[in-house]
Amino acid sequence: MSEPILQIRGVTRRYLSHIPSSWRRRVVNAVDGVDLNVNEGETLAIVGESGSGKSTLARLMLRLEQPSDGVVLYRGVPLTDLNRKQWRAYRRDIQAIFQDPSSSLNPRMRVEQSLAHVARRHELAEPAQLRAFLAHHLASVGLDPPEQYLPRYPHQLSGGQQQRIAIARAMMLEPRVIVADEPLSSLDISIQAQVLDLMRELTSRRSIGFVLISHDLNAVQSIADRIAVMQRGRIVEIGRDIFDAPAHPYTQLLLQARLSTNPREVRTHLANLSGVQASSQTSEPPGFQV
Amino acid sequence: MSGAAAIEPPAAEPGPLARAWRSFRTIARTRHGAAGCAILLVLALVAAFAPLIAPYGPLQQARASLAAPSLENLFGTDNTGRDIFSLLIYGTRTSLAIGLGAAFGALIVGGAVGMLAGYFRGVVESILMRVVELFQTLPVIVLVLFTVALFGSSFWLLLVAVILAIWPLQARLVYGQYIKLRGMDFVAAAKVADLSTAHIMLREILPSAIQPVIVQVALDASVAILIEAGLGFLGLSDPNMVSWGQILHVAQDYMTVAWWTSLFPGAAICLAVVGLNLFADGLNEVVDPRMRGQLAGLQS
Amino acid sequence: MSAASVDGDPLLSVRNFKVHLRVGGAVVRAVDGVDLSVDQGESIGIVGESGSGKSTLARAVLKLLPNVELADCQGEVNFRGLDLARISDPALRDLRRHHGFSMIFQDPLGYLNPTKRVGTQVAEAIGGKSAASIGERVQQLLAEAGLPSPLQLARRFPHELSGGMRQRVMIAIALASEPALLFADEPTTALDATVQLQVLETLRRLHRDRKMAMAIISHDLGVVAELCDRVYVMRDGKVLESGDTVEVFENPKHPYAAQLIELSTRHRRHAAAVGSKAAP
Repeated sequence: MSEPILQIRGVTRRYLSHIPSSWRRRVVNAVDGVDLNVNEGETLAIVGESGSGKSTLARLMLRLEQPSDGVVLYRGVPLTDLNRKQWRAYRRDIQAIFQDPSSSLNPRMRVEQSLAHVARRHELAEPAQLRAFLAHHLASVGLDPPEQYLPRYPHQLSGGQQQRIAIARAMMLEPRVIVADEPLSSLDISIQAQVLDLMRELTSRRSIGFVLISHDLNAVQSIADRIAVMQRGRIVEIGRDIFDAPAHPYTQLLLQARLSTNPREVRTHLANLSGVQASSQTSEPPGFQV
Repeated sequence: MSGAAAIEPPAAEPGPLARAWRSFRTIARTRHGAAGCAILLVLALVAAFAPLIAPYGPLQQARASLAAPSLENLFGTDNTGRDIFSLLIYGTRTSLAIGLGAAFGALIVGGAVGMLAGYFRGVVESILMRVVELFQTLPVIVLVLFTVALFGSSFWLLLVAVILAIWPLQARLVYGQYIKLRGMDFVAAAKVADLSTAHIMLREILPSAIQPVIVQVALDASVAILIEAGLGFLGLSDPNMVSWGQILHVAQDYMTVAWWTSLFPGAAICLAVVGLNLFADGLNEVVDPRMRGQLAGLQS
Repeated sequence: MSAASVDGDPLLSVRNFKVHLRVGGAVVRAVDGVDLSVDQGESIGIVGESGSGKSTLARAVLKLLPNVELADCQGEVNFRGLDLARISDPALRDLRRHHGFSMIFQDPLGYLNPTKRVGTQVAEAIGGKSAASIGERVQQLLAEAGLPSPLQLARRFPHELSGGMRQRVMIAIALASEPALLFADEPTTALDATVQLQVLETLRRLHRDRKMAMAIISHDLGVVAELCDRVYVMRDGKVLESGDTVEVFENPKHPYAAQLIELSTRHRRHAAAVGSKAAP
């Protein structure tokens, strides 16, 4: 882990947005003067609420959008200055998975077709070996037997399966970093855990780095090496242990907003607040039936 | 719970050809679709086997001019003694040719313009959409009048004229679809995978954009037939060509004395237009519920 | 408050409830024999993952499912002694407008009319009465739902408000009928974490101050832990486990329930280390 594979220097992304019920337009900085390094082999998490700019930042990293100010560098070269060869390397090294797995796969294409287009574009396998190549990658994300998944359309598969296919599509290119924009939020809790496990496996076994954009602090905490907190287009805090020792008030606010999953604690807390002795500490209130 | 999905994927779905056949059967199952298919089938057969069905040749004179409908001339004769029934049959060829030809021509022209404007946006969009608006405001009939006056009429002139009249609507439709679809995640994924722009526009987005467009093609065909009929009625048709509109043009002067010269061509035009519209209704059935089944799951 | 109702009868009682839906060409057993009850002034939670049937259950009980989708609906549903399955339309409407039940949904933007001012929509929910008295009542409801400056806010349109405020407007509309029971389907799922906490606080306050029963449907066990006295865990249209929230969370009997709870609380060792939620 030497030079950062991606560098974001003073990047700002401006939008003109309409002020409701008015002729005037307002300038909004979705991303506002952000400096950030993405290192190989590291999992960097970017958390924030809606409007924080985290998704826009991800799109800027992927060159799906261009900065209004500042520069994004791949291996030290600005994205605007990449020659053909460097561009192809950039596209292979930096891959992506998106929030809604059902819309990140083309609904009108079978899984095999979707993946084959990518494989052929990058000449990942001889035509004769293509199917086996795809099958191998589906199996490596836990879709077994892969032959069952290749001929399906996305709508025939569950959210978890679709997300795995999206991961396989990214993994085929053997990227160094996968930018994952809210990859878990459309999934059920049990499936989230499986996908998180898969991501962990990929980082440890294949030293793939992730840029994990998420609003779920718990998921982030279980997998991230570094965490950046964004608010209104800016990074307010960044570091390895910021959840354990949050310095910035917004970070503290986010942590406090996490819901307790301990109902006993909630009840005691409420009872203390209202100054009434909680009657449910040791025995159930009368009249309770399942 | 470890390992991959707990759910078994259902059986594989059939490919595009089999799906097209199934769609056709769905259309045929709706009342509108069935009626539309039946009408179009009849018209297609009439057009295909015209020489075999028509009792007289297209330019052949029967007996008397302006003869009322009789056993020899089912729909009567026109002012030059031609059998109207035969004229209608041969005219079916022209109308269907212009109807379908113009509809597909509009699809190609409008589709290309709409695709480029919707996908690239920015300057390209501004320029192309202004062109679309220009053509929407163009008085096609006046232009056709000028051209015919200068160069005489022909089948191809009419075809081009009708295409010019209807392509803007198709362009707008495709434009709207591309604007909607270009922001979808699978397009972003294709860009990140470095797939070419042409690939994204044609192989990724187009299959999703096409569905409402297909319904519009059927409707365009019906509009095309009406426009052709209108142009023919005004006398702008190629006089060597047999078309329903032209029969009406000739019939103008004799409407009060020979009702059959205008009623039957009019009925034929109605039939074709209604048939295409009913077919379009049937197509709509295929387009909508399928989307619902594919995209919406039952959330609970 | 979790006291059982005074007269011993539950406010809402659902027995052997089944809902079969038409999806595509097939019939799906979305709800497959569910027993459920809500006592007066009690708050229950219905948790499950997608496809569990929890939303369908709530909508079917309140007769909110469109007929086209409904293939079959069986079972007993009793609300304050009234049989909801056989109730007449006018009687049902009356229940929805006066001291019966209300529902708030996940997406306020889809629910609120974008062309009408917020105050107008609350007023419509109140219905009847003179303009003057309604105006006051509208402000009262908006304030009760936790919205600041109700007078000015009533004149805004939904798209001018933030997600949290829109959700509160929906709450105000639901409160207009003074419901004895409030259903909430994923009430905070679309909201940011900080806003979510505040809206949950509001719901909790309303539950306490109005002694209003609540049924919270959510996939988020945190929401249920915060708000609900009792919980039902659903999967594939069936209730796998139910009981007092503390009991179910600490000693789940069904393995699926146990797994869900384990997954939601995995992070707790991290959460415990961080500054606690005490002392607001």
